[in-house]
Amino acid sequence: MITYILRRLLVSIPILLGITVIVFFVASKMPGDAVLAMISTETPQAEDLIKLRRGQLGLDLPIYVQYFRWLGQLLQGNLGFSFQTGESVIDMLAARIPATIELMGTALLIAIVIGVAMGVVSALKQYSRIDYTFTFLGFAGISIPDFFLGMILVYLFAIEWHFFPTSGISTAGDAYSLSDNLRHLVLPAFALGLVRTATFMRYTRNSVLEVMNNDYVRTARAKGLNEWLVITRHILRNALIPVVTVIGLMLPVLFGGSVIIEMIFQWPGIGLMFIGAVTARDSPVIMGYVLFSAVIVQMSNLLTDIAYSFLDPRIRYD
Amino acid sequence: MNIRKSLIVATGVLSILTLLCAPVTASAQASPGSEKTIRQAFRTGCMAGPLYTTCGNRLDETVLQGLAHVNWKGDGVKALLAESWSSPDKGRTWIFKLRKGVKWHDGKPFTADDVVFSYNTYADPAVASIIANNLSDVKGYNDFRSGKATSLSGVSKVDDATVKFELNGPRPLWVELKQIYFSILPKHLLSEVKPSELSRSSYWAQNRIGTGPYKWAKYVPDQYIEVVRNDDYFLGKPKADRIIYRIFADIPSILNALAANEIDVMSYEGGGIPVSDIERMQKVPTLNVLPNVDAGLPSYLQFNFAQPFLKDVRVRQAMIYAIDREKIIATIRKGTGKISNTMFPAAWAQSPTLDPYKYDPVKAKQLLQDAGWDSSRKVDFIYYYADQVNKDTVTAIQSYLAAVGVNIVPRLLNPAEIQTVYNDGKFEMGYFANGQGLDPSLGALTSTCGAQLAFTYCNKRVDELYDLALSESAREKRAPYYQEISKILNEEMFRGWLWYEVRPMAFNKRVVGATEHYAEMPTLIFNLPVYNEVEKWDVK
Repeated sequence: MITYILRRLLVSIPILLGITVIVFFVASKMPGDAVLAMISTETPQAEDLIKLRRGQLGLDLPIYVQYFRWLGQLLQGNLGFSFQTGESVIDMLAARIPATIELMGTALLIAIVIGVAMGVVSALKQYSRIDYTFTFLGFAGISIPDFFLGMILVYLFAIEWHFFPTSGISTAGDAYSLSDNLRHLVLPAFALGLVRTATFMRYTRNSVLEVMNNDYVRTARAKGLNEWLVITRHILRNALIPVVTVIGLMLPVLFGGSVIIEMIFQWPGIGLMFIGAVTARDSPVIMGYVLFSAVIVQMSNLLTDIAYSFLDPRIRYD
Repeated sequence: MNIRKSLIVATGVLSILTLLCAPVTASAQASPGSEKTIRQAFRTGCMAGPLYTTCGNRLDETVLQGLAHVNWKGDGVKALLAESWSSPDKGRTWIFKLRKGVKWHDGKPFTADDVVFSYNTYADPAVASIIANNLSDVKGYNDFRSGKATSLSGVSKVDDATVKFELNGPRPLWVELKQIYFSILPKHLLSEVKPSELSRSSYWAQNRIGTGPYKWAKYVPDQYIEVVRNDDYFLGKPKADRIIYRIFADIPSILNALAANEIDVMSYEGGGIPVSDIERMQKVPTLNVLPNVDAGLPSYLQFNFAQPFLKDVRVRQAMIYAIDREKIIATIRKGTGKISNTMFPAAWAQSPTLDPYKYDPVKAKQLLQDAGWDSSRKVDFIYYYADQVNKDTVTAIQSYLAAVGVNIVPRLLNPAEIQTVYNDGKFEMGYFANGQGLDPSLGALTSTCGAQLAFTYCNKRVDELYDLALSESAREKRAPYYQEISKILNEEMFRGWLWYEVRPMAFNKRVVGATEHYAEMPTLIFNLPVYNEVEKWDVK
């Protein structure tokens, strides 16, 4: 097991490196650069200013030199400084990661709780009205883009009915209070989470259905076990294994989704920071975000595989 | 292992983690609810300070201040850190008497040293300030920029309360047109910072000590900036207790927050209320909506004069005859905006005899035929406003032009690539807008020989007239020069004049002062701090 984990970790190094190379060069191919993006389209500017700023930021160097400079910094544990504000990228990430975890964690929780519950009910009552309703909702959930759901939620719950604030993470300028924070969290978390319940529901439903017809379930029933125990001990225990993998698979999707949801709700996490960095062509920040999310996704894949072997004794990595 | 248990544990861990993260994301500071708070919208990416960004000027209206700011009515300047100024030689030299007894927010006295330091910092090539070129009239600017000098020789301290500016020539309007861009920075806090590292200084985000009516209190990244009342402000104690600038990354979120009574004052940097949303905002009972605020921004068809086929004035005129501008305004643009036939939005700078170029497709065809237009030509047409109204406008222009045999191929540019496209000079036409709000003299930046946005257009008479107009300070004397320019640019169809843009805005009725001041602004003033009497704004 240990050797397996070590091997996986070693393999992930070239993968991460590859990702940074690709992103760096693709990002450098985006039209314009940080200096030009900084200069307003409505004010004409002197060439000498552009040259000066480029020189200061190292943008006048060949692209591969810029990459190796960045890599050199990375090896010293430094992600560089934002072109826009001069802030250290590590500090920028550190300040914003908690907000993103709060949002993604809650969204994931919503997706799991609602999704798994709907999936189990759906499977147990297969071909009933409830099953059809849930399946329909599931399809709808998969088809609705999260930004659209986000906008609908804002329109109804914030603008029309004033239940929740339109955006932000807490009331600006007020002292922190958990209830205020949670009030701000509700809409973005549901926008991000509800759409993903569909995935959990469908996985759970399929896998419960698969397990339900196994011999050992029949045996359990035959020996007169009460139905609740059959469901929780025998069916769910086995049926939820594939669902665990979905959590792992969900993480990259959540990262993508949170960028958009954070933008719509002005949620001050790393996704909002990433959007700002892309518009401003702030490549150290873009790279910092990409590297961070790549590491998280790699880690979650690894954890999923490890979790597998714990949950299903048949799986061994040796 | 028991699945149920492990799932419960996993869920528990996830919830605890989530809740643990919650308090970290907002820092605690008590504030009584009875305070008068003005909540303004602020755009993301505008935090860098006046040296590095031109979209964060609201902070220069409240925290930092300049010697004198342009008045909200656009009709002059308001003396702030300077008490008075005069020129003994018709604008070649300017002597500023500084206001006495002014203190920085940290209690240190404000002196002439701060002024000299600030202007040197803006001009310093190592700082690479984005507004440095507004100092090009100051003596020694070019030497400083090119490294021949280590400071700006034209700015000097006479005594603690007097500063002298020497210019390269007589500039009677230098105070009104150039000086207004510069906020004064505290020497005692920034002189130790290496110029090339100034942008990274913690001063900007954590400790922006200024002299203005409000003091820097807190900056929470991507969320808000909080400034609190400066009781010692030299124009009197401000009425509101604090201003919260909430940071927004996009306009729809600003509109939502306005509609839900979460903010009071809109920001207009980067766009106002889209015209398609005006009606919706007008229905919100808590809001005052100003739908027709003149943005001082002529929209036009840009011609790249480097392209031979656009050099014939008949071709350029034909394109405007071909477009029914009134109909586009009435339909797509919901009645907002005003037809333009020249560059300057200010009525006093416009010739009374401008050709109105009324919609006349027959005449357009005739002109094109006379000019030998080849209707099989595909014309590359760039634009950069990506909102629906402007996209629809481009589509309308495309079909009007196609009807007379001019086939444009629209291409949407990302803001960051605009400069690249300008520089390589290969584009043919475009749908542009360019701010001219403050004063017609700004037109020189874009319509004189060699100006980047003139795209090789050159008329020596226009250059001459701009210079002549700047040699006078009275509006009556300057007007004839600008009127002549406006006539030339109208006849030569320097650009395909379309209309003057509006930037609709909305303000919460609970704030007294915001609506009133913006309603009195003849055209919105961009890119520089404006004296809006913020210290007199109040909350109902």
